[in-house]
Amino acid sequence: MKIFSHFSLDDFSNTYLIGPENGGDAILIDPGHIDISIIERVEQNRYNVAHVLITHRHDRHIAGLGTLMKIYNPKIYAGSPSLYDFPVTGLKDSLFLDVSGISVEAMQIPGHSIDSFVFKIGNALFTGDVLHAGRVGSTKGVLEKALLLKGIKKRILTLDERFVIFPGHGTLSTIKVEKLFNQELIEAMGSDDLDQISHPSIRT
Amino acid sequence: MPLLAAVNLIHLAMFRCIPCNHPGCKKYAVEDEFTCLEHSDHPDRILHTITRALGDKHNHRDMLITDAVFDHLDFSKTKLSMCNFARCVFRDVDFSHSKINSCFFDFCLFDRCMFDDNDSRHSVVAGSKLIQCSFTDSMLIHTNFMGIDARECDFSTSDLYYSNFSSSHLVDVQFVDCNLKNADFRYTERDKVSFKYSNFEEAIF
Repeated sequence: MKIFSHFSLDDFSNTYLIGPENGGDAILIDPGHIDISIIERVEQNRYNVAHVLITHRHDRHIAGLGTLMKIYNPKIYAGSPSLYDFPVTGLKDSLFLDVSGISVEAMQIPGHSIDSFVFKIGNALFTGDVLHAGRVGSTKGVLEKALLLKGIKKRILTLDERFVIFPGHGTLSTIKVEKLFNQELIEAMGSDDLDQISHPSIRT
Repeated sequence: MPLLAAVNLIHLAMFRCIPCNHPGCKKYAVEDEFTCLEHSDHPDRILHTITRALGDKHNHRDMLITDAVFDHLDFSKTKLSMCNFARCVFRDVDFSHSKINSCFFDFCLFDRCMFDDNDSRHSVVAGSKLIQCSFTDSMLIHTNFMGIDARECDFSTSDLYYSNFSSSHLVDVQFVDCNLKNADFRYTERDKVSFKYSNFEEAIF
């Protein structure tokens, strides 16, 4: 399996292309900005973008969908029921997908947005705006922040420390690095109050 | 000051993540081996092979060796992508003019190492200790330096766009004439750190 990372200067976001070693169906995570360099990389590797995974419905992570859909015909997976006018296959928490021959676990971790998902593929964690290197995702309020921290604490920090984090913005990291140096997480780890936080629509 | 890199598209292979087959060991096995370096029957031979490869100035991808010691070596002009050198010790090692893409050097010790005119992107140096290291005239974009302990290091005239130094301890470190746009310096402890001629107002403090 190969992972290609694309950084867009337009919106400072990361898009990831994941495909097999020798061409075939591929996955695109968060097509925030589709430009010629991504298309060239898809074609050079003889990929067909068969599946798109959306970490959450914010423009910086989905704005390239229109361009992408004009060229390929991927199946879109997202936590949100609608993305512009494109058909979407809804994601559920702890859903295991077999897309393009690659096993993906979808984990719903709300807070940054209600539809925020993290995708686990092998030892890679595509965290969108849930967790960046050195910071957690932005939130609109105290409850949302607490929900997000609780989700990260229970669902991400419990994984093997060697998992590599591929965030929606910023640098690569690992769970061990975040545990040791992410100050927001360090403060949250010591808080028992997070266990009291819940949301009726979400398993936390 | 170097120009900001344009849109960056890089290839990252996945780590192989094959655990060392020594009972109870949680480290990864060395590339093309069944055990980690510590539990290998021939660690010197492994180290020699990898050292020779790193010195040949060719492209290397998916190389994996952790907890190794590299002393007085010339790895200049080497090209590495998606390699894992976590917890290694590098003493007097020359990485100048090298290209390092998406490599992991987390929790390493770099003592008197040279990274001048280095092109490093999407790599992780977090948790490492850096003593008297030089990173001048380098492209160090999108690189994770979180939690580093750096002393007497020089990053001058380098492009540190979107790199992350948060929670690091910096003593006598020079960032003269650097591009610091979106560079993250939150929660850092700084003593005798110079940002002279750099756009520190565009960094995050």
